[in-house]
Amino acid sequence: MTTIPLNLSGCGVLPPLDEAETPAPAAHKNGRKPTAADRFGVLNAFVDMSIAKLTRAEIAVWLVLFRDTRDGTARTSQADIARRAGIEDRTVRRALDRLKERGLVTLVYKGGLNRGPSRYRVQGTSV
Amino acid sequence: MMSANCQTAATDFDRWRENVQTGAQPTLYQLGQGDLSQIEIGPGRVMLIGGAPASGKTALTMQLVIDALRLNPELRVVCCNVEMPADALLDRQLARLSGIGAKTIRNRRFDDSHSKRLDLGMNELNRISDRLCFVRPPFDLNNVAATYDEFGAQMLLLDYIQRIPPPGQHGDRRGSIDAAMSRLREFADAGAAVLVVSAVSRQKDSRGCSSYAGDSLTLASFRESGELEFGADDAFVLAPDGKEVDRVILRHLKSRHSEPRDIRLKFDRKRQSFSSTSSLGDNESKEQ
Repeated sequence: MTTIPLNLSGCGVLPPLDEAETPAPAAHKNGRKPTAADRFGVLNAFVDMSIAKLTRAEIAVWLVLFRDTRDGTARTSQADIARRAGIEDRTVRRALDRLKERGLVTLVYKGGLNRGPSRYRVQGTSV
Repeated sequence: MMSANCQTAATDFDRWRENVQTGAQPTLYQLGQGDLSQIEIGPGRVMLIGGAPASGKTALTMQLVIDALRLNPELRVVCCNVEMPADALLDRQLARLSGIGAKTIRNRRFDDSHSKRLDLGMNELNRISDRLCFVRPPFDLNNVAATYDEFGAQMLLLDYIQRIPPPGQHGDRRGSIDAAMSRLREFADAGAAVLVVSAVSRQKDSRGCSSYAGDSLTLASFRESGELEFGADDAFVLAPDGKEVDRVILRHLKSRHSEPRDIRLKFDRKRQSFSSTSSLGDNESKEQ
């Protein structure tokens, strides 16, 4: 596994990342943006195929991120998730780790001090 | 009767002599590593880069600008691109710096493997972002000049000159380009470093066919007016180099201040990144 250097010095660039061909976003019917039906599809898949295996905290975290999703990602801090889900920050972190392991949540951008909140993408199932 | 505006050589002779004797070198901005570092651009110079459609002119000039900002901590640059918005240009630079494919960046389809790289690339662009200004419409030289002055820039990138009109009416396209280059020379004479991207016309290649082939493009290829190459201090054409799809050559067709020297490059189209072929990997940070 390539170890990435800690900084971009001078005018250097990072080595190319080998990645599988990334599919373009699914073509929407008639070129429209994702509709409520698409969103319900994700929610329905989550309820039908995933929810039974999750803890209450994991379900709550997933729902907060699903609710916050705009243009494909949710931009939400862990503290905000904790407040709305009614759980502790550390419970949120554990829940996120398990949701990521199950493929139900993907960390798209890691936030932090002066970088803003993290961004996540939610899926209804891990398939 | 009009009064002359001129000066004798004696007027500035002492100043010029002192400048020569003190050995003060002209200001030249570093633009990159390896062979790219031999491209000279500085206050008072106009550099012209032409190429066929989709040859990589915008990718190359934006790379030179971003790396100039990274290597010259006081430099400020104004960029006028009439075809691509700032977001799209920044997407491409993020791809180049992070090593992530431009298509992945454009489609925003990220996963955990991208996270650290995005972080590093974003931080690097954020570091120079307050010294880079993008011109917004109207894309004409009056607005470019006003933006340059207001931003306090030292370097100007115009992409591309055939679509950035000078003020006033000039009859035809040729007259318009002539006037535009005159204006750019005024910018340079006022101390700006000017990078100009130009469209080129098809020329007859070795088989007599009209094409954009590298060996067919000459100083006469710059579209609309000979004033383009006459007005520039350096003129380059970016063209394919041989049959390998990732090899290009930056033909140095004109150099007013030094010997012209072609530069052979590798163009990673997937990541919109140019690197020297003389020592591949010069432009990549070493892996730990």
